[in-house]
Amino acid sequence: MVAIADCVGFYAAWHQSTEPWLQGVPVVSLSNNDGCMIALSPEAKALGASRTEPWHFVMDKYVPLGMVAYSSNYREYQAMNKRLMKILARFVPRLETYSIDECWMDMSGVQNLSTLVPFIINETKKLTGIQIRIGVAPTKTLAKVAIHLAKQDPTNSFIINNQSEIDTALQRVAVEDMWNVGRQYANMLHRNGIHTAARLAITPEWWVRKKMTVVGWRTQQELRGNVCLKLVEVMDPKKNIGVGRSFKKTTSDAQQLIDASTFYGYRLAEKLREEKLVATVLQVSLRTNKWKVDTAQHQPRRIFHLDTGINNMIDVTRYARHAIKSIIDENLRNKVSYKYMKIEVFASGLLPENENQIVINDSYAAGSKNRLSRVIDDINLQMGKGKVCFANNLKAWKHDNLEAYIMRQQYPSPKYFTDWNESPLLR
Amino acid sequence: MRRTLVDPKEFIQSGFTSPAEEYAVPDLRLDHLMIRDPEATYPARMQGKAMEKAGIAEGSYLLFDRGIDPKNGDIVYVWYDNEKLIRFYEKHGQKITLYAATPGYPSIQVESELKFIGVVTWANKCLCPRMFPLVKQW
Repeated sequence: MVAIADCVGFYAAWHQSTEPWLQGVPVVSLSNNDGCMIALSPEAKALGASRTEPWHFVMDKYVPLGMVAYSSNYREYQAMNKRLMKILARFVPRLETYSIDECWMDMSGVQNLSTLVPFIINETKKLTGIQIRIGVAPTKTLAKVAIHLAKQDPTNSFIINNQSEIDTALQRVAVEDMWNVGRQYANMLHRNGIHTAARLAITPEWWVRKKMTVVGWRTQQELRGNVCLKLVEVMDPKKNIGVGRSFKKTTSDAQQLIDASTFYGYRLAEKLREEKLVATVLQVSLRTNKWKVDTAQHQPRRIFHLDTGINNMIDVTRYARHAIKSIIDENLRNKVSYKYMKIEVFASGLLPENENQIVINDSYAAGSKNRLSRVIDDINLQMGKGKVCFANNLKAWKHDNLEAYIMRQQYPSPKYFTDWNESPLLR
Repeated sequence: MRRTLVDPKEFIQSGFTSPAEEYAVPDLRLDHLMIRDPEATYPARMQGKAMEKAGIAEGSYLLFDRGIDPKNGDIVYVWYDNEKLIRFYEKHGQKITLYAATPGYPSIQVESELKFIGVVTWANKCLCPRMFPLVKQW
């Protein structure tokens, strides 16, 4: 047996768990730059709101109804996610983190599922204040079916135990609500008269294989209770890491672009070192606002392939700065000017730090640069971010300047559990 | 003289190994002392003087544990009457009373909905703030 657990509107639920007055209030969490609603509390869903609605179009409709919106607070969400996963891992022998608010749990050998599952849900709610849902079934695909049915269940859980329960559960699920069935396949199935998961399970295998490739066949096997997808405990190391944001206002100012490039180069190096990885390919890109069709569009890009992987701030910052300078120079030479909206510094070809290639006869002084970076990390960890930085970053760190190219967050929430100075105040 | 920035662990050890090495145990760590359950413990901060007489000065850093069931006499973090309160907890039958430690703060008879959040387990006050720049002054 395998279980999947997910959080009910995770980001919104985080806000509700930290601010008790928000419980029972419709809450939404907004995407970067406060664009769309990306997570909704059940109360917000009850008002008819849906994900991906642009917030500034619908705010006049929902705010009078009592809806409260927050800019996304990813650091806190991530911290809460870590807690949740550790709590869930207490109850089961093996666990696979699947996304920021979902995980698979190994339930094989558990005798008393019907008491354990509600216990897990209650305990998690007690320790974190966040409501989770659990679906249990013999295979991953069936567990996804179960958790879909748990949405309509007041216990927030659904268990599929035996063949007859599989049959009745599959009757209740439409093909488009199934895991690993995309919209195109769902349309194709509907055209062929296959509307429910139950009907898909009894479709001839050769037909499924022909029309939906091996992925569809696997889904069908799993619907019949044959395990094809196993639990993956160790995730692949990250394939690439990027940092970058939209500017508050589009800009063509050379100094501001260079400042931003050093700032994000620095951030990228920090992230790389946190993950203990080095980058062998760096890519720096700028983008104009592609939605503004009446302005000139430009997506310049500079890519560096490096012999030796790097993750020290000095080099990453230098490459980022060099790239932006060369873009600006090219624009000057061509006598053009663009209003850029977004900068991105992107690392790929990532290797673990300790597998980094050393080039023979190399004059590259990585040792001292790495040591310097590590010392800066240590100081900043103890004294707060940005206490020590490079002079060309200085302007960016100063708050009023930071404003210019940090994302718009009109509805901030405190970093309750990741910053000592923003802890909740009790009276 | 040139100073180098080297992690002591990077030095190569020569000579005899320390005879005390066999007895090595992990160093003392504050979180072992102060945190019962790391996933259930959260930070908070004291505002106001309501609990001063119980040893919680204004500006103290607090830890609360969501996993502990409150007993009479515990100091709890509750949500009541639109406020985040920290008070002594007393429950007799169905009747819950919240007491402040400092005289002059009225005790609260709970009449409407009370949201219990956690039991406050530790209060810490920095006694030498000039050396701890992370501690925000009150």
